[in-house]
Amino acid sequence: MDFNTTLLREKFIIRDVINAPSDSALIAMSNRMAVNLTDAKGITVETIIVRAQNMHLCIRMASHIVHAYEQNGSLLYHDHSYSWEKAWERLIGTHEQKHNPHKWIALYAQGKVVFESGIHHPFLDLIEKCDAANPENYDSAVRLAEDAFSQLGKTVTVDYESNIGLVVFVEKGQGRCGIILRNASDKNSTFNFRIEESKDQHISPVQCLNICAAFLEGIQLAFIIGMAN
Amino acid sequence: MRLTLISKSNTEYVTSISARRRLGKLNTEIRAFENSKSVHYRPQRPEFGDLVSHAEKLARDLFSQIPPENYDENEEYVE
Repeated sequence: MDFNTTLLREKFIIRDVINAPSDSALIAMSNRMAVNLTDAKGITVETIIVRAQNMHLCIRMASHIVHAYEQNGSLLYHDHSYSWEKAWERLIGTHEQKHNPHKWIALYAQGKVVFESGIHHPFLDLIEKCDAANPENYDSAVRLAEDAFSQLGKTVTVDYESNIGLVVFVEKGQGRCGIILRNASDKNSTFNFRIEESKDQHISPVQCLNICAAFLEGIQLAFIIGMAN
Repeated sequence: MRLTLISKSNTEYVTSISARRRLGKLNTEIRAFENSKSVHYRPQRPEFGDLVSHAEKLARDLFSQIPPENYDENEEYVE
């Protein structure tokens, strides 16, 4: 299956223009990946949006979704409901389970939450609703969210900042992944890797995503270890 | 940790030990993948050991920037 996706690191700064002082902005942060699942002809069958507290959990869930889709087909239109809870429990490692009390994840399809665990900012749900109302134009979701607040009688401004954390392309027997790191001094550095298909070994998006998650988690852990040493 | 300023029951110590174990597993996962596939890195593969050293240096630099008047009087410092 050809596959491409991007992980965005997002920050929404929500300010109540009239009632709240200028320094009391709400901040919603998230990592976001849109997972487009396609059929043999390359036509998108379903799209699941993954949002999570950290990049590696976001990528692992995306990987799990692709894997489950390759194995069983559609995840959203099955007669039985898919066990997202079990999937989530499986992909959190022991370390994350014990030492990350703030982990959260939320999955969306057509603007609705299909699974959530942990506590995420409710503004993210609104953004996904707005995105579903105007698909293929994610940038306009922020303006739609402002309009939604306005209809409720609240005048807010939403500042949106985002940067790319990961890009993955898997097509024509080749996997290409680019990881963009932001270091402590706020400078970006990038590394890429390319995986080539051989006669007996196919490239799977699942493998590419899992390795990207391993690198990103490893880099974060290396920082924690080094700072504690 | 090296100077034993952090006790073994400290959360930071426990987290760091667990993080080491996890990092080892992740390294193994990546190596296994590299051994089974043709993988090309550009500019180069990040080495977790080097990243740990960089973080150590960063921590040293950060702590050396704290002026002595900001030290907590209840903490003990080893020269």
